[in-house]
Amino acid sequence: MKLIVSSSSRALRLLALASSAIILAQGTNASILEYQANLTGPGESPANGSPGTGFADFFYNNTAHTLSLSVTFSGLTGTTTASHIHAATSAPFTGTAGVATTTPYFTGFPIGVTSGSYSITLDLTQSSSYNPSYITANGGTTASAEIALTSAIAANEAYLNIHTTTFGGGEIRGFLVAVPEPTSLSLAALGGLALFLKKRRS
Amino acid sequence: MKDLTPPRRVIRSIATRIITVFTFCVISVTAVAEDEVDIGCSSANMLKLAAPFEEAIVLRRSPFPGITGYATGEVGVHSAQIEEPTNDFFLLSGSADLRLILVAKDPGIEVWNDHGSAYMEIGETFYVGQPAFDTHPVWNIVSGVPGQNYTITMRIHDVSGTYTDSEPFEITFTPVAPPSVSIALTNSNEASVTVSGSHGTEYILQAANSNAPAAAWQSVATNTTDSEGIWTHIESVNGQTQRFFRAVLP
Repeated sequence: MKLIVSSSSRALRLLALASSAIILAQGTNASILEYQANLTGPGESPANGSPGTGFADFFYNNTAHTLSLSVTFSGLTGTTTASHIHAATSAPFTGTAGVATTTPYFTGFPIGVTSGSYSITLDLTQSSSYNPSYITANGGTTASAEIALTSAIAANEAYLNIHTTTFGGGEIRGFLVAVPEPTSLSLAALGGLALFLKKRRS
Repeated sequence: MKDLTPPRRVIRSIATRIITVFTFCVISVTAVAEDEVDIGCSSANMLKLAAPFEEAIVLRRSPFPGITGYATGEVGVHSAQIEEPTNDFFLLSGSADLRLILVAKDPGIEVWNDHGSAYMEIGETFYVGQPAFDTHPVWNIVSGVPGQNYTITMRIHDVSGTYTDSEPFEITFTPVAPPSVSIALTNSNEASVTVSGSHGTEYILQAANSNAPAAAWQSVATNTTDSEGIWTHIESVNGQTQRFFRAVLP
């Protein structure tokens, strides 16, 4: 911090640029990308008044081609019948889309419960990780399906939902949202601080 | 929830070796099916299914509290993602707004309404919505006999008026059959263990060296039965004096 304050304007500008460059570099070469989703009834389409909630954490490893998912949920009015990731909606954070992942639901997903937790790692090179129709509709290979799915996730056009006996179309859902990496956040803060201080000095 | 049926034992001997087969079945509460109702339309703007169901869908014990008998929510109703022009099958317009209409049901089978509050009545509608949709009715054989078929007849209706109603279509279910096991010694070193049950159903074959209550049952094979409802596992029995087998649902 002292270093920044005592630096020259040029040094501050360089620091900000360097931070941005590192963030961009990480963005293009990152091997693990984290996403999260808050699942609610009002978030469903059509929206409903379910008091149920859920939280899901996703890690996409673009080197290992895996998508890890952990979800917890509670307060559902019906008992679970299925759960999937759907993609891609025609616009971010709204609309509906077909099932992208394993049908009829994720292997081992808890069925017949109003609350629970679940985790799985999908191997995106395996056709069993997808709805067969999704592969066919997106290039016909698991590689093309992976690109389609992860592009939809990155564009906020993919959602996780949980279907129940009382809401056959889905009781709670949430769109996947990227979680900035801690290092990126730190660098961004550092860059922002440098720009702020530069502005103050000028 | 598990249903146990009385064990069936077959004892065979060959030379000094005795292979004992002990079978019983366990009905599990989990199930995974591959069937789904994919909806599209014809070139004449009539709603239609991607493909009819060709054989009965096996239902396992209901995993849903308060829903008795055999049930599943796995048979989802989806808007099709793939066109098949050669079959006069096309994707739906986003303006469609669909409902399922219950046309008929065999005694013993029910489908729950779209709020999960009661069985559907004949003529009642089930909300499906606008494409892209993915909804999961609960199909329920309340009282049924394994091996017997129970059919639900429905048609698809578009409240937006974009499409005309589909032809009635049938979905047939059958209660899962408890697995049974039979064994034959194919030679002095191998036993052929056959698991029988419902067609297209996954069963786990387990084995133990005794059938005492505290026996350590170990899974030796997991497989899905063929269209005849069987699959066979070859087990080496070399050096063993007795071996017990049972099949369970996963």
